[in-house]
Amino acid sequence: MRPRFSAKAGWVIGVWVLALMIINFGPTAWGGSLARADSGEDPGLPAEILAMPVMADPLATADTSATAVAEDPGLPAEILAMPVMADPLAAAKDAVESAPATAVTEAVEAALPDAPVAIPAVPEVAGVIEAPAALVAEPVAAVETVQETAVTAVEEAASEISATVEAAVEAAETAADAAPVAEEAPEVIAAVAEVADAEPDTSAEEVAADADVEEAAESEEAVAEEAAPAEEAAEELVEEEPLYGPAPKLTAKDYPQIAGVNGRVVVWLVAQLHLWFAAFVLAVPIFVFIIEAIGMKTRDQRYDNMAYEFIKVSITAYSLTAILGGFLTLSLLVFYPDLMLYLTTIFKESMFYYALLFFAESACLYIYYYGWKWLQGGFKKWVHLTLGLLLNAVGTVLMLLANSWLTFMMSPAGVDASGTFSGDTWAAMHNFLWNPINLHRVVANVAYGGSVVGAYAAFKFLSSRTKEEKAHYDWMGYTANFIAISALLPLPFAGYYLTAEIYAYSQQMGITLMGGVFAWLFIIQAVLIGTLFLSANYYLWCGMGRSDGAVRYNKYIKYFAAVIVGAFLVWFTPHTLVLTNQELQALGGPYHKYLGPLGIMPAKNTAVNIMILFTALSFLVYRRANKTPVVSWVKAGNAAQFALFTAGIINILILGIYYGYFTNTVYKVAASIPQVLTTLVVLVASGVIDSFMYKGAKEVAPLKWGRVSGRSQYALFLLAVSFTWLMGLMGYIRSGIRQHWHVVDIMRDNSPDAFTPTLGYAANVVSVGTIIFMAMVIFVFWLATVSGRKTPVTGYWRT
Amino acid sequence: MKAIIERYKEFLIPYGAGLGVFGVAFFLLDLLMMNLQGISLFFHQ
Repeated sequence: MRPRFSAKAGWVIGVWVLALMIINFGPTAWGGSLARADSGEDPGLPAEILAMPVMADPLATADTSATAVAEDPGLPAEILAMPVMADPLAAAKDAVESAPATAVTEAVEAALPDAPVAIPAVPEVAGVIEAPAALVAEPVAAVETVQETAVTAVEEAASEISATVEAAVEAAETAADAAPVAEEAPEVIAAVAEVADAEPDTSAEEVAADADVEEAAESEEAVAEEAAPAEEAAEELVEEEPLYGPAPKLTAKDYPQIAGVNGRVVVWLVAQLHLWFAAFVLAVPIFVFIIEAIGMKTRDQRYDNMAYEFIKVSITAYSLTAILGGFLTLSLLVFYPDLMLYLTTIFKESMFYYALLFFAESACLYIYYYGWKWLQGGFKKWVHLTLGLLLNAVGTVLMLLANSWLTFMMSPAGVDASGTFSGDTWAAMHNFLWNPINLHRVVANVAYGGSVVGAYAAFKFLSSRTKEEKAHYDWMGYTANFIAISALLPLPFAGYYLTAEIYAYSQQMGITLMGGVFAWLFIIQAVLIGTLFLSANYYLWCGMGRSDGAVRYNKYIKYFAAVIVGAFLVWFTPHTLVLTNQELQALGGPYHKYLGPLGIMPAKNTAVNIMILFTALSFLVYRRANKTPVVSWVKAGNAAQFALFTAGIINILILGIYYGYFTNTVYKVAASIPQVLTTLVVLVASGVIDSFMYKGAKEVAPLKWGRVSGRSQYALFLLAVSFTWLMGLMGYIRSGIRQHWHVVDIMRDNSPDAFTPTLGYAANVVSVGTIIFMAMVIFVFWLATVSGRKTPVTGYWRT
Repeated sequence: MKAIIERYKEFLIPYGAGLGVFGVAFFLLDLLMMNLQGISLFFHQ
């Protein structure tokens, strides 16, 4: 008997989804106020609210008269005396100012012992010494300036000294000539000469000249000695000359325009299309390698054939990836030349090796694909598998390199505050968000690749004419779905980790991401993720129709559906709504009385963990559908598995509800970690129990591949479309949280498009991208079909 | 009640045992994870 639960499950899901749409959004919240806000029709706050005292500008009523300002006591003395209020640079400034001044004083005093005339020069020199403050910013220039100014100042001081001495000598000589006390004149001259130098025979001019040179030299030495550390630093910097920087400050004129073309939208769409194809062609070799290895282990050729067919799909996609990559590079150069110059200077090595690796990847891929039939059996098969491994290694390195460029734009490293690159490429690559993105992308790519080849299998299944073909493509679709879901299960955790790291890097960026305008896109994201889970489960439940033994488990499916849809409802319940005043009044505040609490993260975490557990449960049931266990402890084993799921869910609920709502934020956030681990423990432990329990199990009847409803194949399409759309939306958010920065806090985007578009606009761009991508994918699928077709012609070719 | 327990004891006994074992295991997991993050599970108020 063929099970009929798929229609039932479809109804349950449909009713739930409808209910949830009505409850959560309603006609006003979703299509109403948001659309109004987007179109600029929103009338804003009513006049009576604007007239409320609380809305008034507090500064408008403040007493800003001169008396009031003068009488303002300011901060109390005890607060000003607190260590935290002290200027942290004060000590440094003192050191810079006092040390060289002392040194110069000492130097000048040493040059002219007992010369009171030298003293006035010291403040001048000391004043000049303030210049070293600039050492912090531009050491080389500062040191040179200090040296030059010090020399000039000392020369000036010395000439002053000599002038004074000359004047004194002249005065003394005049006095000697004119005054009756002329006898004393030689004594005066001698005294002056003595003051100028210890050698009485030396003339005053010579003394002045000596003093000039010596003093200048010694003072310069002293200054140089004081500035030595700065000079060393400067030398180091001269050795490692800044490669590029600071980051250019651009104006709208620096962004070339092409009439009738919006540069941002072009770059946005092309980058997104490139990324979709790249994700696909990087992911397919990962599971092709795994499937080929399974085929080698089991010696079941079906696996090998399927792996070959998977890689065949990715070949055309590979060309499209490369073409789109070239298009993207040119678009970036055309529309954002200065940004590209800045980035290429920093990442010149990685970009160069990226290009080289592209050759390596192409070589590996083409030998892997075209050599598939050639490299068969024994050692040759191992060589082929190794090629697959190499292909994956090269592909992954390529992705990691490209990831570092984009994460540098989000969390720059290896550059100073002005954007001047230190020359440390590894520091720039190994920036804060690099690894979180790497992890998230690897897992997501596998899920995405699985979903796209699942859609290919569905396409082939629906267009198959024979039972054999249907059986083959049904099996292929099931395997692809299995791969997609296996990667989808850990994906929320990788995403959570990435988001946590974004918050850790910049709380402001984190809040823009999930607390600001982008939060609404997360609601759409939640709907799409829920759709992924629902369609994947629906496909599994439909797939149980292949087994004659599945009838034993059909009765449980409706409960699974109810729980998953319930969790889905919670998962995408928004926290705050965009409301009109009337709606706000009707609701009694921005949060719904009952649904409001479901809008915060503890509810989401709890919901997603339960959704994952029930998806895993669907898998367990699917696995069991066609088997009968033979071990003696089946009942106890089942009871233990029940207990495992019960205890796990209770724990998740306690952590989510108690710690999420009845304790403070620290516990709320911290509780999400054991929640995730509980889910992982349940998944692993139930898998272990199941594998022991079903060891050597009997098959109820051979699985009837191909005996599956057409509806289930549309679930596979839905999976691929949802993944694509989801990636586009989330990719936009990831990039959009940089807001008006090309490189966050380093290089500002001053192009005419440096604004965050409305949600509707962004969603439209992403949706158009999704449609273009899907059209291209259908083209790729069609090509794969065309290559197998043959048209017999007679009389055309010469015989 | 007794009859029900008698009827389902083959399931209830391992289920109860499993619930106890896994319950304690999860509690210890919570305790460990919260304390590893420097937050005491008990003295949070």
